[in-house]
Amino acid sequence: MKKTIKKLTAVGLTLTSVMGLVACGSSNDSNAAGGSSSSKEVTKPDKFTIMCDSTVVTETNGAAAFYEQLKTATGLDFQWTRPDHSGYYDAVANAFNSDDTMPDVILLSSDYYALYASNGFLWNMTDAWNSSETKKSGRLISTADNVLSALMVNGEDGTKAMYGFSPYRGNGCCTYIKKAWLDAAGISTADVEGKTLDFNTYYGYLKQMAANKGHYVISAPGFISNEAPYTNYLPEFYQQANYTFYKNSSGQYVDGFSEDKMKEALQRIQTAVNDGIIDKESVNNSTSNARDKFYSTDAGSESGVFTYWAGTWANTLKTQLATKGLDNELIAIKPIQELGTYVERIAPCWCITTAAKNPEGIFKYFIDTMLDGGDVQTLWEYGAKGTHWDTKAETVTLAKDDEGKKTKTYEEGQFHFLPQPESPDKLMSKNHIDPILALAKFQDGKEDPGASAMTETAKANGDFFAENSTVAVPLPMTTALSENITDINTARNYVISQVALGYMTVDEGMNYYKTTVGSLADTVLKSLNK
Amino acid sequence: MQCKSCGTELPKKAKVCPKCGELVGKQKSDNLKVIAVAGLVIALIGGLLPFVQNTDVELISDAYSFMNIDVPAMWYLYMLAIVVSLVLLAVKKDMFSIIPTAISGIIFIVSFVGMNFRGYESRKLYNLHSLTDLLSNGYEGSSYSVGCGVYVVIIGLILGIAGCFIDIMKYFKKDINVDSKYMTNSINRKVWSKIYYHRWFYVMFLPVLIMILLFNYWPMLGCRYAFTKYIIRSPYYVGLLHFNTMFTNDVFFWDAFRNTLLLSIVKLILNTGAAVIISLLLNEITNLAFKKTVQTIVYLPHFMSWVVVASIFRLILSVNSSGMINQMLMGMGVIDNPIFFLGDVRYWRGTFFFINVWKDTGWGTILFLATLSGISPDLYEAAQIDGANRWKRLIYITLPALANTIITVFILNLAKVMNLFESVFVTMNDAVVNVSNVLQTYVYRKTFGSGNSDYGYTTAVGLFKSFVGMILVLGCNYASKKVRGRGIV
Repeated sequence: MKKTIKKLTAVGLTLTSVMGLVACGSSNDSNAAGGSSSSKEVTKPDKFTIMCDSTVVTETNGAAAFYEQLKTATGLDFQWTRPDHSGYYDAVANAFNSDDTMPDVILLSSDYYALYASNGFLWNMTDAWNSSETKKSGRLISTADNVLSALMVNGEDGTKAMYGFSPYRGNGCCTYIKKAWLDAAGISTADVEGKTLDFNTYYGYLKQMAANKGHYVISAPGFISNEAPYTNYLPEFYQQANYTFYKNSSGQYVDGFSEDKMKEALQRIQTAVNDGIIDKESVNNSTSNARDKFYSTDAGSESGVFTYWAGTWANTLKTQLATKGLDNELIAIKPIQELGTYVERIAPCWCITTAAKNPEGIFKYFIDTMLDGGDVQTLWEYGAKGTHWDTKAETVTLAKDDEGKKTKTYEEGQFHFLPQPESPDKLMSKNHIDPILALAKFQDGKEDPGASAMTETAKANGDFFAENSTVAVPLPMTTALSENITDINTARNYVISQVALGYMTVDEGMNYYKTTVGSLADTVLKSLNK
Repeated sequence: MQCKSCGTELPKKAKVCPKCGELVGKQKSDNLKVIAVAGLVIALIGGLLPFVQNTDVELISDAYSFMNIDVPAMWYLYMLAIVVSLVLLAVKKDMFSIIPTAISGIIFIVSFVGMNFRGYESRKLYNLHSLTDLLSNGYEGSSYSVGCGVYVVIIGLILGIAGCFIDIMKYFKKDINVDSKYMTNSINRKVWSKIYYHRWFYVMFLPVLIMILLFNYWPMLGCRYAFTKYIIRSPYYVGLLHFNTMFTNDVFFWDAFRNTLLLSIVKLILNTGAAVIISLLLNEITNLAFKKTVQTIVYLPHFMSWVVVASIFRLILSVNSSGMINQMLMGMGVIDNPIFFLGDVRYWRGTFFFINVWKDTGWGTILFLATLSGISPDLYEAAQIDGANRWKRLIYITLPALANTIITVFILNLAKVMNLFESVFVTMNDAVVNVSNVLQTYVYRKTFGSGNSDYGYTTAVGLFKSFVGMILVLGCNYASKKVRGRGIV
């Protein structure tokens, strides 16, 4: 009998643990969705948790100094969670599985932002933003409203509100042409630079360059990008065509892919591939492959026109070309007539979750101070003084065993970046907020300390892009959309590639699209227009 | 009455034989009651299936099961009772196991008749329903019928109880005709005493057991999400919706399933065939230094990462001037225009098979070469004396000796055909997705292709993949038993 009791006790213990496992995740949460911020007196928050990816200086790159200086500057007490960059959104999903692990503040990209907002996990910060110091400061850049209006998304109850704040613009891609290629093809730079070309003229130039080099001119990272705004790597060919669902001028959501504009765009791409203007291998290209072809020293595989990120990347492309011994003069062309403007993506944003006990306080003392136009903004833009940058007189040495040492001496008061703590052979360039893309300027009398360290190319290109771009419009998240979008996009990408490579005509491609996922697209449209 | 063991005449009402100690009366079976175990597993699965179901196929997600009962403790108690039964069966307490099985039946009936179930309209919004009420009166114009879960649970529980009285294993065991008293102590002992006797081995095994439970079995509990609409923190029960969508409405699922089988099986046949041929050729080489060099060269690609292999082949198969193969073929006048090997649906599969053969054939030869080296040279000498030439020796000595290994390798690899991912993922692109998308890449795209990962649906696809994989493993095991005389699991 005793033995039986022992056995049953052991079985009971085993089963208790099994039940514990099974019970995991079965709880039915009854937390209310994030309500709007109220106008009660805002107090400084107690210790709170922050989760972000490695766009904020990483732990191995001197984050401790940044945290310490931020703590001193804001007077806040916070705890950081820094998952691995590549697995960031897996970690985010895990964190949201329980109240215990959900952070108070989180950095989310546009897709995840819309998802978590629609599921009721984010605090509505519309009122807090409207009464914020930053908004009232008058330091916001002219396009700030466009950037922030793109952050108005549907909450759990379907009402549009601001559930996140982005302190910088999302940036986007513009088209760069190598001056050396223009010269070689006998095209005057003056005919391209600063001019708004039409497609035929632009295409004519591309043809001239292709004829001169004897091979393709453009090698894009795919015929279509896999994230919004999708058409940004071949904008001159897609022009006004919409890859996915969008709200038309009459306020109805329509499927941009099945419209005539997309058919025309596909025809243009097919013709360009057929004419040898666009590299067939674009279908296999990653962004790094496409960049490598732009820097390539092999005349047979080098590309001459590249649509890529604006601002800091403009400088990086030039530097890389110079490093490879190639002519590094690039001309960023204005959007062609038929395109109108380049598209700026929706920036990742800082959100306060429903787990936060004092969201108003966190907004006021943490998020609103990111663009304070002073010490805190400096920290977010350049990192910690003494670790990532400095102004004292010193000689900075970049160490790399195989290339020898590079040194540069700075005078007292001269802003300069320091070598990266994790890679002493490279200089720091920025922290979380790219100074070129910041949504607010520095306060009067408080000059941007790093302005002198910004390269003229990056700054000029950043300004050029800001003048010639509009912010992408986010798509509201519906159940039907989230369930079917992967299949719909798979069919879309297949059609684009097949048509581009000449294996299908445009009509065959559109027929394929309609027969395979047409009904799914209709279901999505129905849900969007509800 | 005589003792069944030693034949001694037994006294009346004797419980044990006074001579050999054999128990008098019915011989107790020591076999695991397979039918009872299978029945309980079926009953456990039945708990996940719908008990009541909306009759409208369009509203298949309107289903009720233990997973959305208003008092989840009932589900846990039901599972607890079944697990207790399974444990009792495992320790050969068959008759005791009937009690918890019966209790689970009572829990099921009480839950079905007396409990409320949640009908979800969204993550937090739900209405409470009584299943009997739904069945008799319907709800908001919808009528309901008894779901498959009820039948599965009933069949499972009946088998769980009836199986305790049926010992199908005894038909597969040979009677060793040895008196139990002459058997080893180990066989005669009870389970707990055996465990105690070998306790240190069990202690050594403990870390492995914990690791397996933690990393192999714990994640399996996530398969319940295949029956839910996965919404962060609040997944709710949708019955067989995902399976219905997968089999009837999914655009790319069957393509992916077909591609998985086609690519895997053809790859397996080609790789095995190529490995056999190369092994036979290597076996014929008499210069040892040359043989070793060739072996090393053919092994090397196996150690390269698939990402690197894909990059190399993308480069040499390019349609541009860097594409060595196309330039060569055009130079030889074989083709006029370059072939887009990795971007054209007509060529992608062939290219994929070629890359696989190039990468893995060398590694596959190891086992065959080991077998070949074990063939007695006497056989070859004898054949040579009898006038057999090389070809005849290959046909009549080498291949028959190799046959068993070929079949073994083939069977072992057949069990892995559903696990095709990396090689496809790095060589596929949008233009060839129709011929290259396999189940694993399909699940990957569905999970990470958009911000809102449909974990419920992709878990259902994964579950189906695992089910097919399990059938293949069991089929291979059966084939292995037939061919080799012993199983692989």
